[in-house]
Order: sequence, then C-alpha cells, then structure tokens
Amino acid sequence: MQHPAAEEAGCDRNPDHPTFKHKATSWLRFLAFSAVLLVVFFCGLLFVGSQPQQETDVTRAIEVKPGQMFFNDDHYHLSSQGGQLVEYPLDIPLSQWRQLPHLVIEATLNNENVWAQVLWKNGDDVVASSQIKNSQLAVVSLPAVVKEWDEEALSAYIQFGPLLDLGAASGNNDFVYQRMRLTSDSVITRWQMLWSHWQTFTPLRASALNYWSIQDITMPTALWLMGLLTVWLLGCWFMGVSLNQLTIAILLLWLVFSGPWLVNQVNNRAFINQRFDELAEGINDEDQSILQFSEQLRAELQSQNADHLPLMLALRGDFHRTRMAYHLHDLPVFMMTSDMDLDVLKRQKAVTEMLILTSEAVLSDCDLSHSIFPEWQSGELILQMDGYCVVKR
Amino acid sequence: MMVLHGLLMWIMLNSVGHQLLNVMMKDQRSIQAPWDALPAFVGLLVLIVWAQLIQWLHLPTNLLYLLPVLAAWGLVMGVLNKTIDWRQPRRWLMMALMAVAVWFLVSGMPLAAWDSWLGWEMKAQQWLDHGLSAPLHRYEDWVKQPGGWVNPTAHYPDGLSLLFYVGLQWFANNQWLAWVLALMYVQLVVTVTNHLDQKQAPISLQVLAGLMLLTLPLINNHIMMFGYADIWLAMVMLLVVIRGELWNQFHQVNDGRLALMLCALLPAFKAEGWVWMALLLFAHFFSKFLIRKHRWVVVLLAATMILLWFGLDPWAHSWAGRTVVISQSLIQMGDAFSLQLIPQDVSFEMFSGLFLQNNWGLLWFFLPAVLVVWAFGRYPKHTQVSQTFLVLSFVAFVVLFTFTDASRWAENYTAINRITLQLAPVFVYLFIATWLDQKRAA
Repeated sequence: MQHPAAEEAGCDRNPDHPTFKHKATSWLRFLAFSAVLLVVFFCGLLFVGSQPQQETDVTRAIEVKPGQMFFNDDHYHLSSQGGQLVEYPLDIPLSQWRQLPHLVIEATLNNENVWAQVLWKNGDDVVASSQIKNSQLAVVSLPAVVKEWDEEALSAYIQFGPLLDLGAASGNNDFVYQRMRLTSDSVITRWQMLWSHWQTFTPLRASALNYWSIQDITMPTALWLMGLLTVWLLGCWFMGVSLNQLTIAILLLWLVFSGPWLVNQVNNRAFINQRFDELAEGINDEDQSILQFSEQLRAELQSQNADHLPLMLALRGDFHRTRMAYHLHDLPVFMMTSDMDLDVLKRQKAVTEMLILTSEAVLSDCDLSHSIFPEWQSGELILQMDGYCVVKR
Repeated sequence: MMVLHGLLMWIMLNSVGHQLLNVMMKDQRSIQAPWDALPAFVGLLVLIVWAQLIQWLHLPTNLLYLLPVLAAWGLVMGVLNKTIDWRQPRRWLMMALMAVAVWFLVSGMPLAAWDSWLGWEMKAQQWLDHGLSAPLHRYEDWVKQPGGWVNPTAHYPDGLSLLFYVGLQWFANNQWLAWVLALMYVQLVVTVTNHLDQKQAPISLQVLAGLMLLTLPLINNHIMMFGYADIWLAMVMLLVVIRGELWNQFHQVNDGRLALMLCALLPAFKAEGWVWMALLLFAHFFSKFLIRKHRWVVVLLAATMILLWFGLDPWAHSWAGRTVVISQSLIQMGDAFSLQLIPQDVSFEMFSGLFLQNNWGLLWFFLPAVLVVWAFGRYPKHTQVSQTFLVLSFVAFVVLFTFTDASRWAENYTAINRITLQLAPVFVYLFIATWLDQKRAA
C-alpha cells in the first residue's frame, strides 16, 4: 500500500546494480573496519589502565556467630535466619579493599530466590551499595564514593534476603558460595566481570517493577561501548557504507545482545503460566487468603450495617495492605498512619464511629489493652477472624 | 476465555475506529494498510471520549453499549461491501506474525501491575460500585472532607481507568486488557514497518525496526505487567510522530487532523501527556520557522544563555507590583509564571537508567551517533519535526530531573525509567529513519 504521494519519498530501494566484485570489496572493507573497532574495544576495555594480577582470599571474612553459617558440599551456607533481610559484617579493612578493589565471589548458588548486595556504612548510614549478581562468578567492584571516602571507620556488610515475587518468597533463601577473594583491577578480573555481566542479563520476574532494575554493566564498560558504537556508526556514515550492510550489521548486533533477553522472556512466560495456571482468583496463596478474608469481612460488616463506616487499614507489608485495599474497593477504605488523630478524622468525615482493620502481627491476640496506640484502647473489638482484628472506635 | 474477551474488545476498537476513519477519509482508504494501528487508536479515542462524556454529563452507563453496536454494524457493512478483503496474502502473513508476537508478549498473569491495581484499576472498580461519577479523592483530600472514596490516582487523568471500566462492565476480570494492549502494540509495530515500506525502506530495515520494538526489555515488561499508563503514552506518541511526518511531507489535511486527534489522547492517560502534546506542537512550529542552517546559532544561543544563567548573579526587577526574578533557584515572571528550581546532581541516575540497567538493550547507546548525524547530515525538511521533538523532549527530561523537585523521584529510577519509556519507541523509529532519510552532503 502506498501513500498518495509515496512516490516522492526517500531513498531508492534499488539505486543501481553493483557488480559482485564491487559488492565483495565493499563488504570486506566494512567487515575489516568493524573488526578493527571490535578489537580496539576489547583491548581498551581489558588493558587500558589495568594492573598486574594480585589477589587475597577472604572466604572466611564474614563475621558470623555460632549457628549462622555451615559448610556443606564444598559450599558455605550463610543463614537467612528464616527468610528475613539479614546482614553480616565483612571483616575486610578498607585500605586492603582500596588496593584490591574487586570482590570476586565464586559459585554463588543462591540463584533465583535470594537478593544480595554488599553495603558500605558510616555508622547506620548507607554510603554505597553494590549488587551481587546471581552468577556462578559474581564480581562486586568498590564504588567510587567508597574509594574517595576519607573515613577509615567505614564498614562493609553483606546483606541478603528473599527475592520477593508478588509479595511472596520461595525456596531456600540462604546465601551460598564457595570462595571469596579480593583481586586487583587486572585483565583477568575485567574479563571475569565481563563474563559475569554477559551471564546475568536482568531476569524479568513476575513482579519486576519499572524502577526495580539491576544495574547490568559498569560505567567504564558502558562508556567504552558507547564510544565504540558512536565511532562505528559515524565511520560507516563517512565511509558511505550501504544502508543494507549497515542494517544487517546492526540487526546481528541487536540479536546478539537481545538473545539472552528473548530466551529469558520465553522461559519466564512458561514459568508464569505454570505458576498461575491453577489459581482461579488471587495472585498467589497469600492473596487468595486476603481475598477470602475480605469477602467474609464484607459480609460481616453488612450484617452489622457497618459497611458505610470508614475502614482504616493498619496492616504490615506493602503487598498485604495494597491487596486488602484492592479487594475491599467497594468500602471507604483508608491506609492508616501512626500519627493519625482518629477523633479529628471522625469530625472531618462527619461520622461518629469508624473501623480499624489490623492483624495479630500488629495487635497481639487482638487484645486492645496491649495496643501501642492509646487511641485504640477505647475501641471495641467487633471481629476476630483468621488472624485479623476489626476494632470499632 | 480472557483471550476471547481481549479479541472482542480489540475488534470493537478497530471497527469503531474504522467507522470514524471512513467518514473522515472517504476518498483515502488506501492509506490504511492491513493491520494498521490507526483504527484501533482512533477507536480508543472514541471510547475514552464517549465514556468521559457519560461521566461528566451523568448519562446512563448503558449508553456505552452503543460502541459494540457501532462496531458490529461496521463489521457487517464491511463484509457486505467487501471492504474487508480477507484474500490478501499480506494480511494473513501479518496476522500470523502478530499472533506469534502477541503470544510472546502476553504473560497470562492474572493481575495488573501493582500500582495499577491500587490506582487505575481500582478507580474503575470503585466507579462500578458507586457510579461512574462517584467522588474519588486522594488520601490527603479524603481526610479533609466528609464522604467520598479514596483512590491514589484520583487526580490522574481518567483514560486508562475508563478503559478498565468499560471492559469491567462486560467481563468479569481485567485480563482482556493484557491482550488488547499486546495486540495494539504489535499493530503499532506493523504500522511502523508499513510506514517504512511506504518510504521504500529495504526489508532488512523493516525487520530491524520490528525486532527493536519487540525486544526492548522495559517495554515488554510493561506489556506483560499490563496496567501502566506510560506504555499507552509511548504508543500514541509514536503514532503522532508518524502521522505528523506524513502531514509535513504530503500536506494532506486528514493527516494533520489525525495527528491532532491522536495528540488529544496524550493527556487522557497521564498529566505529562500535556507536556508531550505541547512539545509536539512546539516542535512543529519551531521546525517551520527554523531554517536548518541556523541550527548552530540556536545551539550557541542556548549555550550562552546557560553559561550566563550559571555565571551571573541573581537578577530581579520590580515595577507596578510585578516582579521578575532570574536566579539559579527561581525564575519568576510576575504572577504569570513562577518556577522554583532545585538543582540536584542526578546525572548518575540518568546515565544509569539509560545505559547501565538492561532496560533498553543497545538503544540509547546509539544516541550520540544519531545526534551527530542529525547535526551534520542533510535531511528532508519534513523529518526535522520529529528530530526537533526528540531533542526538545530530552532537554525537558534533563531540566525536569536536574532542576525541579522531580529529582527526588530520580533517585529510585521510578520517574526516569518511565519517561524514558514514553520516548523509547519514538527514538527507535527516529534511529531507523536517521539512516533511511539522511543524504550525506557530498
């Protein structure tokens, strides 16, 4: 289909018919130019400013108490203490780290269930963090801000916890590794870093949020890559490389870089379909229980003619609170904050009573006398069910 | 079942859009190539405008049933008049490719994205519960007044929520939207390849454009986790850019009308749609008046202004009760305009969002080369509008995050990645067009 005036447009599809020799020469010239740039890119990335290989073993530099770590099948297992976000101090002096700025962690087997990073803290303040990739060989580089930090008191920690997917954790959340070593900024380390990046393209998870992305390549690699592509494209432009040659080259380049991502997306699609296949409603088991409770609560409030009252949600966890609010969308639901004055709110909303929905995780045994909020103590418990408490006040 | 629901909605949008396009462009049906996204997006515009009218005028929501009736009428007339030619091989080939691409993009998850279920989708649910004109308030507004219901997106435009709402009127859940979104995105990819075909681009370039658009990680993520508004803005913006380019090239009034109609969809989804719409219009007029040889003067003037602004002391002048202030923290023009500036260094976050995270593959790595080629290459006048738009958008993007309160959103990449997402498909198209359109000076 052509636009009415499409004939006037753009380039010629077949401007002329070059001979085979001309075509071959043109391709050879283009390939030679691309190959030279590729070699320059890799040499620059690996060799420019590199240091001789030096390393020191820090496998046992994690400070643990009895019971927090065990050794099994040639691997160290660092306990997640029941699937929480935990951190362990790293006994590595900053001066040593500055000399050998890369921490190489071998055979990390935490894979898909654990999210881990190295933190640098000044007291309680986090100065910098660097993610540990889910790779057989993870390389953590000392951040620039830590290199320039003038306080020797800076301390490092390894922090990890369950990788939540739609509010739920799965599998074993221990951090498992075989060996850790500090290495210099050598050619070998740089190569290992590149290989690690290549193997760990950001996996798309079911709950991958738009801002929750793993930094995939380092700044120097990105700058070298940008430089290479800019010089390459501009070189092709000045050399008058044909559109077809350039397009095919970009197409191949794009396929090489997006290949792991395409495979990952297909795998992830299969995983998601398998995971949600048997769920009629609800996102996961936790959501299913929230949905069931919300239906019971709605019926109960309707029977008590209290479904018009503002319902304040005082629940723990973003997933829990937002899914409860979603399932109770037909009620006047409000996310409660700890500094809220309920009496003022009642006046504003022109009601004499309001409801507070909380859980036994917040209000032990639904016992109002134990509430940390004095305002709640003058309320009346009207419902205790499935670990939830509803207070009328 | 949700596939069927999705297909029904998609057919409805396409058919309704076709009706309007046939009325508008009776003599130019040929510009609608098979599976072009234009009818679907025009149908989307009709749906949103119609639902918004019902909401504003408190009309009965049963009037929404006019849309499927109109769609069915269009389909019947299309078959009777044989305007839908099912014998075209290209149509079947494209349909097969679309089916594969849609399969690849739809995850089958039983939910929308998390802030959608708490915002845009919940708004639709609340309208179903309490009426389409029910008073919804943000948290901070809800506590100040009696009655009403809370919704964190109460202050956002209603476009996406109305889309959820119309579907929820007829279907039990929201998963149809995942299919409609994926189908419309793939239609958009087809539109880009059709447009490149019209420009006589080689097949390899068309394939590259399709591949790039279908393998941008964050775009795919937003399609799989359907329910975000940003992806809709991104799609509409690309359509506007293509239609605007056609308008500038061939000066057909209908192309201009369509570009303006699609522009009107931008603010229906997000508030920043107003900014994109203004920039698109500004880019158009700017390109009309700017002669290409003046581009270096413009760059020099902009650089001088920036240097002066950073280098000179704050300047203020008052007269007749009006004050003009130009400083690094405030720009004020009497009561008409006031912009509080909070310079923040978020360069790392911006760099990281574009290059270090695996959000865009290699896409933005091409940007420096593209800018150089734009500056030194020779281009047909009509292509400069889109180029100017992208440059202006990027300047707006940098100013927004470097000098305003939005920098706080940059720290966790939320806003940076979303705004980049809105621009990414346009840049894919412009990247492709850069090599196609440029005619290097001898």
